[in-house]
This record gives sequence, C-alpha cells and structure tokens, in this order.
Amino acid sequence: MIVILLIFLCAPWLVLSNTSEEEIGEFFKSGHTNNWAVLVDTSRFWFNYRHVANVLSIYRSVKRLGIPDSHIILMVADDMACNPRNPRPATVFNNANQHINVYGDDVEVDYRGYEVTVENFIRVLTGRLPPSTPRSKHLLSDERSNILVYMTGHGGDGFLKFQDAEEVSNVELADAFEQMWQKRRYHELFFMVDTCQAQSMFQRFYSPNILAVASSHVGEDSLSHHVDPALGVYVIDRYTFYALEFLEKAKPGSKKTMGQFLKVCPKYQCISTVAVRTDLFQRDPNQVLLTDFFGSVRNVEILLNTLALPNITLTSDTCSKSSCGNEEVSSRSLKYADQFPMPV
Amino acid sequence: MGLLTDPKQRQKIILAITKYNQLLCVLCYVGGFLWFLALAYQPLNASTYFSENALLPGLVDYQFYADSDVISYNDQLTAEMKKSDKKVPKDWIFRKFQDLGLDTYYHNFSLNYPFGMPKDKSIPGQNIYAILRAKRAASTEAVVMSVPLRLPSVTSDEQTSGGIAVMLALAKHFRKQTYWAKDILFVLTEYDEIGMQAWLDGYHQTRSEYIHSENLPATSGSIQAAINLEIPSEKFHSYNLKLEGLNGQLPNLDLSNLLVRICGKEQAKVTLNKRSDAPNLDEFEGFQHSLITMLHMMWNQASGTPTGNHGLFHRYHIEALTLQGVKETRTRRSFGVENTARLVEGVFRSLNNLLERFHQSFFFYILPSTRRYVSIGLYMPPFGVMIAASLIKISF
Repeated sequence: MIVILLIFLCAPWLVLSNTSEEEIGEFFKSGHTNNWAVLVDTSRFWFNYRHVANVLSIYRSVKRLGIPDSHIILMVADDMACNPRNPRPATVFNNANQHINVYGDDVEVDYRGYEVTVENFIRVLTGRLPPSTPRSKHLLSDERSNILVYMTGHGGDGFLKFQDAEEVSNVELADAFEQMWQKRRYHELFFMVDTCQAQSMFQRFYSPNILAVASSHVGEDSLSHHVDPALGVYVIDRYTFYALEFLEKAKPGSKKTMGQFLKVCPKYQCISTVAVRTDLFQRDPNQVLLTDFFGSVRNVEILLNTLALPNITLTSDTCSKSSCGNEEVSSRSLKYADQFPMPV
Repeated sequence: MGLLTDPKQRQKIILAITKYNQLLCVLCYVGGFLWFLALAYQPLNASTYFSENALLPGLVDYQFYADSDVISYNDQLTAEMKKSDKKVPKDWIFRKFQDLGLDTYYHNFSLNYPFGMPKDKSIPGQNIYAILRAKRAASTEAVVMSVPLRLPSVTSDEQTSGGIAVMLALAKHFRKQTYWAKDILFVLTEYDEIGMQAWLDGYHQTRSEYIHSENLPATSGSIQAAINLEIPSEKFHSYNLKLEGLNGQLPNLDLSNLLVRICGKEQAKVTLNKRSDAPNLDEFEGFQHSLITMLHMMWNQASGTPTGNHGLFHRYHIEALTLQGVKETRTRRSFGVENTARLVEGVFRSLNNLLERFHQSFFFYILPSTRRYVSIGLYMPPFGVMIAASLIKISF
C-alpha cells in the first residue's frame, strides 16, 4: 500500500524528468540564438520601382515576424518614395490596390542611394568595415546567428547588377560567404534571390549550412507581377509576390516549415522555375521552422523544476592558479587581428 | 596563294572587271536600286520596338477628365479669332496662361528678310511662352509643347487653334499634379519655323544669320523632348506624324514609337505623310503602299526643309516631332481636342519617366509604316552597291 503510494508520488517525478530532458532537447534543437537579415535592393531609377517594393515588403514581413531593426541591414539603392515621379509621395506600394504602404513612417534604411555598392555589401557580410562605421551599419552576427540574405534587382548568368555601373559575381558572393563561415559569422544562412537567371547566383556556393532559393533557372527571366495603372509602374515581382502571400499567413509562433516555403510559386504561377539548393544544408528543410530564418523567435520555457545541464564548458586542458602554478604562463598578450587593416 | 594576293589572279579579276565594266556598272546600279525598293517588303524589314526601358509607354492610366475645359477653351479661342482676321489674339492667350498661374513671357525677335522687296527692313515678331515648374524637382530638365500661331485667315486645314486650346487645358491640369520630374514649357511661335528658331536661339543663346532674337527673360533646364501640335479647332479624323527635320534629320525612333503606341491606346488612326498603314503588309498591294510611304519620307528628307516646327529642335539634340490633326472625307470616326488632350497627357507622362536624353533607339531610319522600320544598317548596303557602280566606272 505504501509502496503503491510511493510509486504514485514518484511517478510524476519520473515522468517530469523525462519530459524535461525532452524539453531541453527541444529547446536547443535549432542551434541558433539570434536572427539577422540582410535585405538588398540593387537597382535605381523609377522604372525599377518593383525592386524597391520587393525588398521593402520582405523587410515588413521579417519585422512583423520579430526581427528588430537593429538586426536588419536594409540596403535600398534609390529613393522611390521621394522620387518626383511618384504620384503618391512618401509611399511605396507593393500592390495595385495600394492597401499597404511598405515604406511607412518607421522604415530604417541602413544603406541608401549610392551607398549600396558591391564593396559595401561585401564589407557588411564579411565584417570588414572601418571602426568609424555606425553600429547600425554593421552585421554583428556571431556563430549562433541565423542570417537571411535577400537580394533583388537585375541579374544575369553569374552576376547581379548593382546600380547600373557595377556587378557582383557569383564567385565573389560564394567567397564572401566562405569568409563568413571561416570567421564564424553565421550558424545557418538562407539566401533568397529574385532576379533574372537567379539560379546562377548560388551555383558556386561551397560553404556549409547554406540553404538557397532563386526565382528562376539559368536561361530564364523572372517576371514582374502586375502594373499599378495609377502609378504607371510594375509594383512587384512574381516570386516575391507569392512568397509574401505565404509569409503573410505566418505568425511569430507559426509552425510552417522551410520545406513548405521552398515550394512556393510553382511554374504555373511564377512562369519561371524556382530553383533550390539544399545540398549544403545539414538539416532537412522540412524539419526547419520558417521562423528560424524569417522571424526572431525567443524561446522561453517556464519550468517548475531545476534541470541539471551537462557541463560542456571546461575541460581538463585548463588549470587554476593552484593546480598548475608551476607552468609558465605565456607573457605575450593575445589580441584579435585588426579586421580593417589600417596603415601602421 | 590567295585570290587577292596572287598577282596572276588579281590580273585576271582586273581583266574580268574591265571587260564587263559597263555591264557590271549597270547591274550594280539597278541591283542596288531594286534591293533598296525591296526593303519596304515586310519580311525584309523589322518591327518597331521600344529601346528605352524607362519610357513605360501607356502604362499609366489617363487622369485628364476635363474634357469640358478643353472644349470651352476651344470655343472661346474660336470666338476670339473671329474678331480679327489679320491678327492672332496673342494678348488673350497671354492672359489665359497668366490666369492659370504660370510664368508667362513675351519673346521679341526680328527677321532681316534677305529676299524680296523689304530689303534692309526687319520684320518684328513675338512669341509667347509659359513655364510650368515641376514642384518636387530641380528645374534641370524640361520638355516642350509647342504650337505655331497662325492667322485666322488661313485655310481650315492649316488652322492650329485647337492645339492652343489643348495646351491651355493641359497646362491647367498639369499644374495641379505633383509628379512632374521636369519643367514643362508651353511655346507659341509666330511665323512658324522662324519664330521657333528665334525662340531656340534665345533659349540656347545661339545666333542665326537673319533672325535676331533677344535673350529669353526666363529659361528652364536642358530640353529633353518637344512635341509640336498642329491641331485644328474642328473635328478631324486622323493624326499625322511628321518626323522629318532640317536637313533631313530625324528624331529618335523611340519618340515616334511612343506616339504610335499612345495613339493606339486611344484607338486613334495614325498616319505617316498622311498615309496610314496598309492592312496586308505581306502582299504586293501592302508592299506597294509601304514603298510609297517610304519614298514620301525620303522625298521630304531630301528637300532639306523641315516639315514642321519640330525640325528645328534636332540641331540642338532635342528629339521632336509634330502631331497634326488631319480631316479626311471617307472615315467616320472623328477626334477632337479632348482626345488630343488625353493623348498628349499620356505622352507627357511617359516623357516624364525619362532619365536621359533619347539615345537608345535609332536616329537614322526610314519608315514604310508606323510599326515597321528600315534602319541604316539595312538601307546602307543597297546604297553601297549603287555607289560601287560608280567606283567600278572610275577605277577600271
């Protein structure tokens, strides 16, 4: 009788400890602790209105799902809202019914106008900015950051045009991502590109943990979606339009997966074929949450019991003053190498 | 050894050409001429397309709904012109522009006519122009809308007062909009091309030999394009595009394509040299029709005189053409000043999108129809062959 009572009393403890271990497992499943987004629009001029609308729409989605402005680097190559040709000044719309002003009052553009250059883009990614750069223009990611990189503009086979005068090649981009990997600047990276022949931009990637999606194959053009007859320009591109449709249904606690996102915009909707690259990505995209890249979900679990976490920090290689006081401690002080090689 | 480096072979060729000199010359000449004529045949020439991506022609909806405005201006102007037969109602026009709130100015010039009776006597003239400043842009660029002022006594075919009404109504409409990236200059010139040249001289501070023009009291930025309107006050049936300028220079093909596209959107009939497109371009009748259109254009170019005020802009690297309203007897669908106003509004909305001067499309071309063109790359080889005939004659 007492044994049965004891068992009844202990059972919850047993069950709880099992679930807490599971919970710990769940808690640390994704492996990342913070989210960053680098959103780039590379084209200027009034007739490229749709590229600015593309990037601002993704910006809005990403912000809505939780990534704060301090963790978003937004690069917009031209000021459509204040362009004299804009019949609705101070607004940028991504839809012909003009419901959502994606520019709004609270947009924070980090790189604007002529600051959007290939050099600045690569410097942002690799972190080699001069120390005088304002903090909001740095990508301060670490080895536990999941980064979303979205690029839109005019592109071709192996390159993406920046502002009519220069271009970034796919080789350069792959090398920049490899630099990021070697400097431990990302945990996982999701690369989205919406240009013509976009697949060529991710064909050269060789760094691990990159998941990439492009709006068209090599040899295909990505098409714009519709025209706003009141403005007189095309307002959004097809792939981004359908991607936004998908994202609009997601909420911060959404259980939608990246696998579902990669299937967005089949050929009959996009007319171009969406290309995906998953071979560099360690996890199965169907098990990865959408908010792992698009949102910034802070995992908060309230437990009623204390957990014993395994000791994963110190190993036997370290010693305290008492245990290895007779060993010579190196007198040379160590410091990090200058990221931006300044002349001595 | 090669055909041309071997002296023996070369000698053979020279002998052959000398022997058949006459025949070769005639063949070359006739062959080149026939090849050139054949270019009007549809499979041999190309379809027009837009090279300038920035234009976005016809994408934006019309916003000009003030048909009543333009019709009332038209009626008022017709009434004013009836008052005096020998004088253009300049003061009335000046006051109307001023009432709209635009910066309006008179521009005086004089002409020393070198021929005829009044030698050493300078004839005075006066242009009117108004500047609509773009509200949100620096006045670095401008587009021009011009109308030649003609006396009330000219024939109704030559009458241009409808264009003035269109100008006034559009000035009123344009003034309320905030989306202009360029200034708009409304120019009314006296004595047609002479006044236009005087105005251009004053604007760009160049000098002409027989026209003395004072400097303009106010100017704007560099002019990107100009549309000249010759629209009568009564209803007409088609729009005639006049492209040929001074010394045969032509505007950029994109400007012509733009007008054709916007007219198409308004479902208006467009003609070149008062000839519309043949419906059956790939048959012999269509070919004949296109050929005659093409030859008309070349004839106009060969004369060297501009076919309208627009021809004087080309020397300043300003693309310009004339839109003329033409009455026909057999067509039923008619257009008036209100259609023209909508059309010109669409053209100006498109010109507003320009970032640079027209430079993408062709400057040398001949048009067999409004939607087909023969570029210089296509018509130079037949001419080359014709000239080869004379080369063979003189060298062998």
